[in-house]
Amino acid sequence: MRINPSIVIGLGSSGCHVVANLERIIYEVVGETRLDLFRLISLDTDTRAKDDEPPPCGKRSVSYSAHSPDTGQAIRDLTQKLGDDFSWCPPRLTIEGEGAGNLRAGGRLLLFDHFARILSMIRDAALDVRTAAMHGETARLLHDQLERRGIPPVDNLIHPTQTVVYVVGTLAGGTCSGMCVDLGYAIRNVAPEAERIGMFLLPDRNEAPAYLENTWATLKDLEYFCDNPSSFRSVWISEAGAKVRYQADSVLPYNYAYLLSPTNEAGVLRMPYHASSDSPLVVMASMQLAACLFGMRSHISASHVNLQNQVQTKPKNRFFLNANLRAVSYPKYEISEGAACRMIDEKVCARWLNRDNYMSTAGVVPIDEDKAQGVGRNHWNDHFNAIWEGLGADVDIKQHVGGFLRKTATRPDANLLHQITSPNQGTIYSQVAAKLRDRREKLQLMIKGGLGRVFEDSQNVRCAELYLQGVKAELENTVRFWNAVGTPARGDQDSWSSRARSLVQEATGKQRLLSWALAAREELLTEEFGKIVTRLQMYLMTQTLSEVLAWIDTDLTSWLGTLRRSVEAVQDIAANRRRSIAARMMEVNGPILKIGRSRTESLQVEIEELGNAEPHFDRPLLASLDGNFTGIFAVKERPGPNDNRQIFINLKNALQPARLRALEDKGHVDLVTQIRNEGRTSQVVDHFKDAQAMSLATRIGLKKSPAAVPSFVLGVSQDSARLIMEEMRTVMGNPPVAVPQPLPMFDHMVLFYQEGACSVQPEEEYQSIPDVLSDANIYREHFNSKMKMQSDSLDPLAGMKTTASSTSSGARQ
Amino acid sequence: MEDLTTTYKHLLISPELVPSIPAFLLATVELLAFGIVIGWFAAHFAKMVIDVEQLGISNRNTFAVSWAAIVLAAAAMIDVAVLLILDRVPGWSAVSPHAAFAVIMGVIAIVGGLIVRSELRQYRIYAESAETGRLVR
Repeated sequence: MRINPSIVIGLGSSGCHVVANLERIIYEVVGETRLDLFRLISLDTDTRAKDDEPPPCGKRSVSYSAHSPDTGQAIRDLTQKLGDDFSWCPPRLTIEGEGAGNLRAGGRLLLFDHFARILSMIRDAALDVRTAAMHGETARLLHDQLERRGIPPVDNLIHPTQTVVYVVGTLAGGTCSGMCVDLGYAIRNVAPEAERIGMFLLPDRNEAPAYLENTWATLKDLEYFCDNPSSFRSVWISEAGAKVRYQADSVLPYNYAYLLSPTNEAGVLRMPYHASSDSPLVVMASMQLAACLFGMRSHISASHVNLQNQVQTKPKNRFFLNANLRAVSYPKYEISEGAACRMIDEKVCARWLNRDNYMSTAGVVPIDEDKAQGVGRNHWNDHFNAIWEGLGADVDIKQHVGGFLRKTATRPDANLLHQITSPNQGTIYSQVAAKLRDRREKLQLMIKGGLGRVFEDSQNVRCAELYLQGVKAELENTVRFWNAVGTPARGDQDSWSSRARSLVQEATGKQRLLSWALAAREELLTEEFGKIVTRLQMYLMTQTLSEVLAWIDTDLTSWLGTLRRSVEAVQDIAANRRRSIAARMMEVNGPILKIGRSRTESLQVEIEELGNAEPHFDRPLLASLDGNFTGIFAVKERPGPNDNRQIFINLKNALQPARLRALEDKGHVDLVTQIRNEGRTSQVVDHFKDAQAMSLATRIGLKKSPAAVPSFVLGVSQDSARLIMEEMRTVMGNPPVAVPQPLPMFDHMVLFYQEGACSVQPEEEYQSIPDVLSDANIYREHFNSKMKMQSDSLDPLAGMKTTASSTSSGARQ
Repeated sequence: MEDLTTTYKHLLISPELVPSIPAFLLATVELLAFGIVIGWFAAHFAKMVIDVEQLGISNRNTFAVSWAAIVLAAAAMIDVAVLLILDRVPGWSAVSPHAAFAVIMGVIAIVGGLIVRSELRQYRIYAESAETGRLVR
């Protein structure tokens, strides 16, 4: 077994779902180890957010949006650059809706519009994986993984020169069906040494007509270029904007194209498809890709040598293949995910939402409302003074007192009155007023800072609400005190002028003789002037405090409400996810059969036990930093539609890795023994038979003999695979017809993999591969009726086929 | 200067009977003049001793004067007591200027104390009214 440097390109929404699920499986296999040997690229034209979740180590695939908001402009630009070479594109092509609008011409147009960047991405990826394959560090990481599984180092584990590029997507929509042919040749152009594998999902016969039309058109195109391998030629645009002419040199669009459908060979719906990464067909495709990445490809390549020998008639007989895969798995990922969901539901969200208790370092503490409000009161009282004093920091009272005593102004009293009532530049009034905005920001910062600390200490929304009530009460006290000492309302300049006059008179006339006698005149005036400035501060600051109060009442209180609702929503998401995981554990019809660790401990119990641990986060879930809330629970004031889900994902990703490690620390699960102990051998046999029943209905049946095509039972070792086959024999009577193969990286799984070749012989009724599909008539009817109405958007490669046909017919003549 | 010394010796060490109201008023004014000089020193001393942080400058000044007034009133009463013990008081009218002086000083001390108390109380009321929400205007 050898591992190839590989690139997986997911085309369109379905391809992206496959890549997302593949990332999850890779995480399940190697954990947080970063393997640069693989590059995953999601290439979509649909900009709508998908519900795919990144694995806990974070999203490592590269997503590229091949979206062009103005199709008309894109057509004009490409027409200008390519001239007649762009004549394949209908000049009035309009893409309605998202993505490529289910139009093949739309998909091809968007590929052309983004061609240079897409090609550069693939070129870079090819270079990266080749470099990683030759780097000793990659081999060391893989050997570490094997060692962790108790497997001795394997010589030449990596095949550094044989890069494999997988292109996966559905032929139903416009993106993959419009791009896949060009992309196959484009990959050949930038990475000629790479093996190119297409993995195309076919729609169910009951899907929308546009899906069936696109599928048929693409299958016929792929077949055409198999039959006429030198016909493909295209003119693309390089990164420098120059034309790139490509002429296929007797090569097929891909080395192999796997056609996967939701039905089995008998036409029975087995792997339903829906636009989600947990759709059975998507899970199966991603499992197949994951197995190929981690070594199954080398087994397949070896077996394909037989295919070359057995199916020698036409290239297309070796080109179109079907594959089917089923797995029996100890679901490490789901168990750890379920446990993380339990912790989010019961230990994180429930504590944050608890109205009676909160968690402190000492354990569960009942919430004392007065004490919690006291935290807010104390915070205000501890910090308000410093902010308040800063308001008059620019006022030099001693200078004003000195001027007053030296009588620098002709009327010192009037001058002082002017200083504290006039907003003109340079007056005391203007100096204080200039600081107001800054003080408001500092007050908000101070309140948010305290709130952040409450969140850090209590991890409870109720405590934060009470803190805020405490702050508000103290703020209102301050305003009341200012009112009590006769501070006029802000904006009432007349009242302030009158009050200021009396303050000046009082200050300058106070203890005039006594203070002189006690040599305390300057000292007294300094104090009295300070009092006047304080009153001025109160007068000016009343509005600021009103603004801060309004900010608490509206922004902050509403934000706390949003936080509470978000945490409730996250709790619901976690609880629902936990239920759906529990339901999935019981499924026996999906592509993966789940087996527990022991007979006595069900998967559900294992989830519950694993979820008993105390949640630990590296950073506080909510804290305040420089006036901004940070952390996973730092919700926006107006959350977006996916924000709560993103919070859930972040929480899950923070908790799941530790749960997965804890699970792995429990040791390796011997699947064969467990299957036997749990009495599930018959279910395993059903899965094996399901795998052998293929995933494509054809009229002539598929070649699936192990002598012709890959037909494997894959275990952690060949012996392990043999053991499972032996166990199956006890139910089947005969030994299963498949080749046991090792797949050591999948130590928690047994895989059943079956390929089928669709061979048409000259003497047979069907000369075309697409014609042998059971649903061919339905596909063809829809295609033909569409072609009568609008052929140019459905068949953007028609020009190559027409010219090639006329050339060849001309040559014949 | 000698006359002034003689006058205060008479007043403070060997007082004589005051024959008339004008003589009483004159003696009281003389004592007050002496008291103002001594009180100035006492008030300065008090000013240095009193904690300004607690009271503020104006209250401290008022309080220093009150304190000096108390000291002077007490000094006057002590002088009377000493004179009585030494049997140098020929009759009550001889110490009536002392008594008037002590009363005036006492009034000054009480008024000063009331002013300081009133100011401090006012701020306490403001603070309490802010706490309870009842406005005092």
